[in-house]
Amino acid sequence: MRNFIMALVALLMFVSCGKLDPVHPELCGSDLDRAGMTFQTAVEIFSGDADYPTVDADNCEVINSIGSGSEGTPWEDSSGNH
Amino acid sequence: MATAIRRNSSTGDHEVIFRKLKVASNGVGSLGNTIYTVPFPDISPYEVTEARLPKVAACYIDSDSEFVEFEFTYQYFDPRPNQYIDNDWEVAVARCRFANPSSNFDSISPDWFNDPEVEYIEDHEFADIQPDIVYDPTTGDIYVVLVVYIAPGTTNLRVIEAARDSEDLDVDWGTADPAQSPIPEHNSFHPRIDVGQVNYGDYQNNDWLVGIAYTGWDYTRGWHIRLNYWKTTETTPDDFTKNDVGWDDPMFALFPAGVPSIDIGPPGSDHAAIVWMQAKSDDWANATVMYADTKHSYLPAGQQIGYGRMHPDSTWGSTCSAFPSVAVHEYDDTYESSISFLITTDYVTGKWTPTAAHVLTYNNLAVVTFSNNLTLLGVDDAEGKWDSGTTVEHYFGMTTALTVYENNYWMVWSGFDSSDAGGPTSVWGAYGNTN
Repeated sequence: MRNFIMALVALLMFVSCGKLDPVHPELCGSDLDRAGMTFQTAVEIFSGDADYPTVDADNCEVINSIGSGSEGTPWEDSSGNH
Repeated sequence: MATAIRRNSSTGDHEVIFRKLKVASNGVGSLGNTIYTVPFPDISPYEVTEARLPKVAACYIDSDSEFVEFEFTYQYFDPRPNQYIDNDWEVAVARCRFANPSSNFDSISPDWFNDPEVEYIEDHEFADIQPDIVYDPTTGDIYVVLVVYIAPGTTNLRVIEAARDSEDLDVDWGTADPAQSPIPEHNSFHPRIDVGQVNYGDYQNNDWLVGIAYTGWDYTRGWHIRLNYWKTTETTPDDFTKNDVGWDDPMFALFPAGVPSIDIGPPGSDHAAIVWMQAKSDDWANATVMYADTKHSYLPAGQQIGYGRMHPDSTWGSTCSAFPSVAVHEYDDTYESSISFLITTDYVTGKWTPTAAHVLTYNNLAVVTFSNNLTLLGVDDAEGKWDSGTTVEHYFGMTTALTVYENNYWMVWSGFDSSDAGGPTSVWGAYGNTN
């Protein structure tokens, strides 16, 4: 009986996660429980008359020695900031 | 590094500015103290007074000399009369170096050299807009992609490459023929470019590829997302018909899509991703965010890229998501994507919330979820009506940007365009990390 119940539970879990719209699937709990992102309070980077305030950001993630093509080392200032 | 446009408080002119976004060793984000101004081209006796849509790329070079180099590109309004039209938008690039990266970044001024490179577009007979820029990390070469108006109502894309001299480490933009590098997809907008090591399409040998994502048009699809790519070791092709891919989301196949962002992950990741806006109606009255990457394979063979919709926003409901950006990064010994975007449940009157989220996978499919929302704090200017008529061809550059270093995030965003109310006035950002 116990095995039957466990099998039934497993079957229900399979069905619940298996209703798969190939583009918009139902998500299982394990996917949602993963570590998240934590943000600090937003800060004003550019204030004032920032007309057309297009933004772009780059973190120098492709820093490399010429010819190496390997992932490089980010710079660091005297305070240990990257 | 964040860049934006600001109106100079003294002259009233628009100027390109940039600022460092710091990540401290203790996992706290902060802003650099200095806001730098990017120089405009010298077009005396005229003056450049207006610029838009700046983009920045960075490269750390530790060859014989060690420096961090930043290259900016933007469109500026050129008041000079020329052969065809009295004035128009042109594209400039400007480059600076911080020669001693280990010193205090904020204590040194950027070493501007090589005045903004305008030669290759000077006296151009067409208007150039919407540039994007990237470094090739294997050579230090630089690529710029931009939109060119080749006739009223008709645009094309152009890619211009600057080669770096291995001796003096300078770059040469050369002279670009106006016909150089046309991508045969008329009415193309919003190109974004990246370089990285990824297996895709005909290239399955861990090659370094240049990838372009853009908004394209054809008579059967209307506005849709297109992708083009080639090896960095190949000459930038004059004819991009070889590797030009376009696709539709079947659920929204009848409606336009566009405004993409592309990121090819770090070497070894073999992971490239694109996000874009998908309209839920012909008139862009509402939109959602779409995601695709090279690791998931829903689409038929040949397109070789999988995609996912916003979850749970794949409905026809009132939730509107817009202006996404994507970053591929390492997570838990593998690579994944995170995205940023603006979202609202009231796209008529505004109330836009900057949001960041991981892209989760399920049964080899990608799903963008709201599990990791960024809570917006104290920002009131991200309000505004949805100006659907300018979604594809807008100049205002409403956007978000997300950049990731190890487990550290910086998301930056601009206020939503609210022209009737005088426009937004600030650029905001938030530092975050993966816990």
